[in-house]
Amino acid sequence: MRKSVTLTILSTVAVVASLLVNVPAASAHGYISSPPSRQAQCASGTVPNCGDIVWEPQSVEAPKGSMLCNGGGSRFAELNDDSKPWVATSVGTSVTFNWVLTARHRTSTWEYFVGSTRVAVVNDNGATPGATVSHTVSLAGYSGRIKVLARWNVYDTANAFYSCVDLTVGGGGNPSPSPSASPSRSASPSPSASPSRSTAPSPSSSPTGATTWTPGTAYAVGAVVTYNGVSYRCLQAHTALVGWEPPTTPALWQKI
Amino acid sequence: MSPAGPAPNGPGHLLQRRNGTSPVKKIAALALLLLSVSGCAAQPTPDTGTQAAASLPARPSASRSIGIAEDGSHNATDVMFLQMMAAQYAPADKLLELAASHSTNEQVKQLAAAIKVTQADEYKQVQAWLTGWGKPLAPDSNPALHAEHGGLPATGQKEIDALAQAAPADFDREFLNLLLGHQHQAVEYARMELTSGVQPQVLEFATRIDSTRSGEIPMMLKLVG
Repeated sequence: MRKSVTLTILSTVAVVASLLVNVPAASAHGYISSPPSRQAQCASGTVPNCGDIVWEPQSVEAPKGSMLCNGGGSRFAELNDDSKPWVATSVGTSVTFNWVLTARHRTSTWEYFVGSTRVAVVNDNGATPGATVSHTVSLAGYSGRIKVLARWNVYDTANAFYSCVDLTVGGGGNPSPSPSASPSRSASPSPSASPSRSTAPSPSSSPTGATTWTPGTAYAVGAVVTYNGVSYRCLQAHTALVGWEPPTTPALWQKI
Repeated sequence: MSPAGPAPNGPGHLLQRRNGTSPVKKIAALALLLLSVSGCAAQPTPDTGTQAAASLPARPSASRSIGIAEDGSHNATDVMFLQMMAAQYAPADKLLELAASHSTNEQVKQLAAAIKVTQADEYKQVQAWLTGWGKPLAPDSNPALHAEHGGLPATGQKEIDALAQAAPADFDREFLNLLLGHQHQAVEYARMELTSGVQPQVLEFATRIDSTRSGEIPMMLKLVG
C-alpha cells in the first residue's frame, strides 16, 4: 500500500511538474500514411491485433540507427512481424511516400531502406519540415514484394521515427489515390454504402419504424433514428461514430 | 460557475467513484497545493478518492492520479486542454471548407462536412468554458510547454494557401494528411486532459474528442491510402 501511495505521489508531482517546468521540445511525431505503412494499416483497421499502435501510429519513436520497423524499442513489436497480413501496395519503378506529421521539428535526414540497402536519403540539414512531407523514391532494380523501412531522423534529439511500408514493385504504376473507392459522384450518398466493418449490430426496429442509432452506419439526410427512446432526424449525411451520439451533435441530428 | 454546456452524461458515466482514504486525501491536497502554485484557479476538491475506470471507449484508460472536481472547478490542465483545442478549430475549419469546394471524392466531402459542423459546435462550447472562467482563448505561446502533449497545430495560412493551390489529383491526399495531423493532435490533447484534468464536463468533452477523432482517423486513412 505504502509503495503504491508513494508512486501515486511521485506521479502526481510529475504531472504537476510538467505543468510548471518548460520541458525540452522532444515530441516530433509522424508516420507514412500512403502508401499505407504498417502502423497506418493497424490504425485504419486493415490489419487486426496490432496492440497499442492503433491509437498512436505517429509514435514509433526510438534511438536512431535501428533497422527494425518498430525502431528496436520495447513497444510496438507487432510492426516487426512479417507474418501479419500486411497489404502490399502495387507500385511502378518509383513511389511517392507521404507523411502525416503531428509536430514539426527540425530534421536531419529522411532515409529509405530496402533490406540493408539505403535506396534514398533526403538531407534537410536541420530545417523544419512542411506540414506534410512527400518524397519520391526510385525503386529501379527491384521487383516483386519488398519491405521499405523509412527513418525520420530528428535533428536535435537522439531519436528517429520509423515506418515500414510493404510494396509490390512492377506490373503497375503508382498506386491510385483511392484503390477501391469508386465514389458515386452525382448520386447522393446511400445509407448502405458504409465502408465500416461488417460487425455492426443489426439495428432493431422501434415502434415508429425508425432504427436505433448505430455507430458505423452511414446516415443520409432525412434518416430517422431513435436514441434512448427519442427520435432524431439526420441533418447532415455522415457515418455515425462513437462520440457523435444524436443528443450531443445538434449539427448532425434534429430531435423530432 | 458551471458553463451552460451540454452534459447529458454526468461524470458518473465516465468515472467510477471509490471511497477516499486518508493518504489519498493528502496526495490530493499536495496536488492542489502545487496546482495553486502554478497560478491556476484550482479549488479544493471535496471528493478525493475518485479514479478513472476502464470505461473510456475502446482505449486503455488513462492512469489518473488526481481526483475529479465534483464542484465543477477546473485546474490548469483543463484550461490548457481547451486552449489547445481552441487553437485547432480555426485552421481546421479552413481546411474543411476547402474540402467542400476542392475535393472530387464524395466520401471525403461527406466526412469533411460532418467534421466541420460538429467541430463548429465544439468550438462554441470551448469558447463558452474559457470565457466563463476568464481565461484567454489562446494557449501559452511557449511551444515547449505543449510539445509533450502533441504540439500546437502546424497549419498556418501558408499551408492553407498551399492546399488551395494543390493540383486536383493531389488535393485529397494533402487535405487528409493535414487533417490527420490535426486529429492525432486532438487525441493527444484529450489524453492529457483525461490523465490530469479535473472538471467533470471537460473530462466528458475530452472523452468525446478522443472517441470521435479515433473514429475519424481510420476513415481518413482508408481514404488516403
